[in-house]
Amino acid sequence: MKRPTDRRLADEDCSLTRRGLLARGGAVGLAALATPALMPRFAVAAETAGGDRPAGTVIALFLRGAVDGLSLVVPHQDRAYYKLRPTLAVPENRVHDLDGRFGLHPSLGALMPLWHRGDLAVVHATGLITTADYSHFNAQAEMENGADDPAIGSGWLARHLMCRPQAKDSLRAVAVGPHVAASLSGYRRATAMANLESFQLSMAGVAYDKVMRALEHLYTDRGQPATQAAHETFDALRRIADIRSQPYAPAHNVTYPTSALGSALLDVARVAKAVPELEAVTLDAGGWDTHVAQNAVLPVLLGDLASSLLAFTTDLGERMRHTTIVVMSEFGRRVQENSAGGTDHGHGNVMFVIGKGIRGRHVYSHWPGLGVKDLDYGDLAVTTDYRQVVADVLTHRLANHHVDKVFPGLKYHPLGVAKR
Amino acid sequence: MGEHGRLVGRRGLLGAAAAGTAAAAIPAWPVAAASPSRRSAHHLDHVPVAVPDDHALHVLRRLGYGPTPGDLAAVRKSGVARWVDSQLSGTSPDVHETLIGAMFPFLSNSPKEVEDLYSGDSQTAIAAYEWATLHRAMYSEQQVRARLTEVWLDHFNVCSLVDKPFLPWARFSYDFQVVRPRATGTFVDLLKAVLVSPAMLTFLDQWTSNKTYPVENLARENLELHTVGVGHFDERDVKAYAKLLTGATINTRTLEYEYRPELHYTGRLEILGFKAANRTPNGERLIGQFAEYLAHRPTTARNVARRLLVHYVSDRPSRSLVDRVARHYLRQHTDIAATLRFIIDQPEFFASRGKKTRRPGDSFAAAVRGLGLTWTGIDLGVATGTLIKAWSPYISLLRDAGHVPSEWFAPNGYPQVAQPWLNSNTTLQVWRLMALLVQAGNGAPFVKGLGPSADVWRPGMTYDGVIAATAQRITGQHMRPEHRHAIAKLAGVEPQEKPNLGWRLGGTAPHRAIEFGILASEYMVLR
Repeated sequence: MKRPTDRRLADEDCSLTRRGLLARGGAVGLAALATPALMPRFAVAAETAGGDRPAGTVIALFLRGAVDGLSLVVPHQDRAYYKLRPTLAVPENRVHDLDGRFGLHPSLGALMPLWHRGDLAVVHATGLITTADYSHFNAQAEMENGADDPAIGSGWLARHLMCRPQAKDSLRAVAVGPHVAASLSGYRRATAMANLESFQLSMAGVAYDKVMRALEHLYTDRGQPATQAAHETFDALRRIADIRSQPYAPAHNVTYPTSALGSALLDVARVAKAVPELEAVTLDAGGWDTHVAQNAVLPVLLGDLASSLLAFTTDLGERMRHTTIVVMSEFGRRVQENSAGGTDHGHGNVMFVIGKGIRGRHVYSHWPGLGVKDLDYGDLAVTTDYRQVVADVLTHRLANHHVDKVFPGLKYHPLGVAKR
Repeated sequence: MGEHGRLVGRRGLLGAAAAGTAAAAIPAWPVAAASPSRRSAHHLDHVPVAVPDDHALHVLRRLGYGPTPGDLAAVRKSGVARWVDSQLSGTSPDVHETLIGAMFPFLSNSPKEVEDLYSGDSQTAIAAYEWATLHRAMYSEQQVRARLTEVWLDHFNVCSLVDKPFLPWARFSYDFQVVRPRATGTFVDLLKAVLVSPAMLTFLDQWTSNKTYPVENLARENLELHTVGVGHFDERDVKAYAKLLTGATINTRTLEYEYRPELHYTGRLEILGFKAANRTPNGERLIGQFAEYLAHRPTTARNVARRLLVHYVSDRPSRSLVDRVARHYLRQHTDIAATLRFIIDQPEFFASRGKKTRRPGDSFAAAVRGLGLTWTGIDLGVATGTLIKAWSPYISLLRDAGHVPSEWFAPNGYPQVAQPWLNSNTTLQVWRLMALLVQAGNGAPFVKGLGPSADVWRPGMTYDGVIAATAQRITGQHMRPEHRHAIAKLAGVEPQEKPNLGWRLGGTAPHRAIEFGILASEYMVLR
């Protein structure tokens, strides 16, 4: 595994304390890292991080299992694509053409209004530039850490939040799901929420606030992680109870799909509208590991993905000016289809960036081609580091000018995906 | 750092399309927070509440699912060493397993039989299986075997919900016939059985593989997760192993494992130094030979040692401990019981009292055991809709907490370290589970009886005394005065007052509040 060539690169501001300690590696130093009281030291001074200007919100949607980017955004002028995908290729006349070269999968039709409005940007042949293997787990971890050095010990979204003015709101960062996503790992106040409805506590015969007060007195060992988790839970319970108590009708009578993703995005919309301080959301959609019978599985998943995203962006309306959705997956799938009507693990992939603050209606790609010589061990090559895409969003949509802290070692070359 | 980082960081989801209506109920699994930093290790060194120097309590919590009211006395009486011996030797009759067999007879049937029995209604079958698994944690006399089975089902995870052919039908026999009977045997036998189990063959797509297009999924995950681990193989090994495995498939009529030579790739193979001429289409014995080879690799030994140590000792076992255990594993020819016994004999095992965090399923089982909830006789017989309805609120809360048996999508299994579980959602859903448990009445699925807060009452006791005794009963630990005081407040009782005689009948709101306060407290978080 590659290491950053110069560890000192990040040794200033927010990262200084931590890197310094790690470099020393002493037990005391390492123990100190764990102390929550030290966490604010990650923060840079507010003025260098963009003052009190409210940051935009970033929603990181992770398609777990490695989505087949060549089906999402079809290179319909590439003959090699049709040659290597005799049964799985999407015919040229069925794609939703984007720019004469690429077209969206037929089941992604619901995204076309976003495309035409300029609210959807596509990045192709992107992904982890450093991936050394085809492990879902390693690739997800590396992508969510935002560094190929596992010793970084935190996720890119967490470091983004640490580089922003610190706020105590328990709903500043929300991980939709039973656990805190790895990209938020290291940001102590991230709230994990399976869904809005189940995020409540009641006990027959005892008033809710009485239960809360008692529990607060039962978690008193401040140094104990379970105590921290409990106290974050109390905060989040109060905030979410407020949100739940407000009746909700999506704007423009939008109907969300009843799928897991549709329901999750509906919850995110409710939180986003109620919590101006919301800066980061993670959520997941699964089912993309299509080793077998890909053409039976993908249309359903893609239809759900597109209509969920359309419902959400329509519901948020003008709020999409300050909200950016980044859709990513750990790696793409092999160009050559396999014998089971599926595709195995590959490399280069597609990303979507969605919002009213981005320069959409464009496919950003240094397309490497799919010819025999163009392939990277049988895979679509990665010509755009996914971090460059995220860095654009950080810099121009999230008022974070410390890309070097979020992605240590990255040489940032603006792509122009985000409006300035 | 690297090795541990992998373990911690490997919490991905390769979601696979969930089947039919089940899909709506399944949250999208996230990659749990992966922090390979040393944060959690430090946190776990900090013991939150008095962890008594009590070896009986330690083995009951760490090797099993926590003490029932009678357990502590029984283990103290027989002695910790003898209890461990009897659990590991498996010589004592497993009454509960016989009962499980009677309650859920179909679960030990072949995949085809289960499919026919349920005529395709997978939701009911999965619900029954999940309860059967929780039932073992709650009630099995063979607590050590029940927990070891859980460890291996995580290690060799097969999700029952993914939309793959023959699942979930093949998932039930995977537990009952493949993993559980071998949980205390040798790792090499377990590995061999898993490799040719219909559940694993379909979960990782091996059954679709053939010599023309070898599918790599099982080969890759078997090297990366089950045996040698990341960094100890390369892409050539994966490709060669995928070829070696061709031929192993599923008979689509019987849903049983079948070897079909016409699918097998022939030609020289070399994987991790293992060499085979592989000249004939009958390559079936090569699977077993290579499994032998793999199971005895030092890298596999360390991977298996680490899996066991992370579950039984520490989220971050020291390198020296991993090496010691790995050497023993190899000396004992991959014998699992001998390896676990060796772990228990290491000073680190008892030194780690109260330093592992319970996962939601652990908390649930520990609460049921601590409360002394028993189960209704009407559970006997094939699971009916009524019973499934009785279980479903508990399963549903465990699902919101992110921890239901067999529902983790990815091949790496549920995380075994604390950090992913220390978040607001898991915390909250476990509290909700506790609130539901103390309201359990005497209908299915539980029989509560008087409940511990009534049961511990003796004439002359104050409320504070009742709370202290109930906490001792449920957690096996002494509860500090300030915590008892908070619980008295929750229950709306004055600590120094004495309950009247009616207290011994149980079932009132203050009884439930006391029990809830104890179950939801920090005392129940650790094992």
